[in-house]
Amino acid sequence: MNFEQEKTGPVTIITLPGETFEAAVVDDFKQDIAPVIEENTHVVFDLSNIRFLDSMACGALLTCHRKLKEKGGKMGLCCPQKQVSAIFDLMGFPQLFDVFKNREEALKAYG
Amino acid sequence: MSQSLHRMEILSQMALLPAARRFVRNFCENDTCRQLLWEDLWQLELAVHEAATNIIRHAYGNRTDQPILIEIEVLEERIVVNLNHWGKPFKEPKSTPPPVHDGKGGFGLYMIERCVDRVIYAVSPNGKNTISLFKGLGK
Repeated sequence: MNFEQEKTGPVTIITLPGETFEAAVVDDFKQDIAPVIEENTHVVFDLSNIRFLDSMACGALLTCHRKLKEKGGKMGLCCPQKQVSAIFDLMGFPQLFDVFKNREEALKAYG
Repeated sequence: MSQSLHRMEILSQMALLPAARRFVRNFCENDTCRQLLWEDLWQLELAVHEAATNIIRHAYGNRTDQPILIEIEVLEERIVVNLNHWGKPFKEPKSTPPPVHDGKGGFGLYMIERCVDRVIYAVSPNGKNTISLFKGLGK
């Protein structure tokens, strides 16, 4: 998965490509995100491109969250579209993750 | 009484799930269930996607050459999506708790339960298995 990676201070922002984040690409995501999670402490996923995500994608995000938390890091999500926000609400993600409206909010919280 | 029935068959491939979702969306936007609310429509799409994912992964063991027959039917006050497959049948799952509390998975079943009003798992003697998803119209 060719995601865009941007480092600002201690925060690494990953912009997920494509319009969907789902089962068909989750294996690629897991493989490519592993070194990023290994090398960084505070990671924010920019979801502005994503209009659909499924349970496999949610599981992959939960795994990233757990790994970062285990080493004292933080993980947040930013810029979710309306439907993605609704899916997060359905899954109870706002209780677990920091969900930011935009990058600035994320950088302010983690920077 | 059924007002309309539409069918689509896909192979058991994750890459074909967007086409299955489009089929559901197009039907709901263009046919008799225009009164489906925005939230109801994406929830139905998501439930169909998750049920098809479970069929591919668990019923067909990730084989990519098996059929999934999707049927959409409008029955007066509700829409029914049947996902038919000829793989390993599912047991009726127990009600699943929210997954975020244990992080052990089961997200798909949880999502399906939250997205539709009722789910029925049926097994027929000829080897056809059906997951039926029911969603009320115009709530």
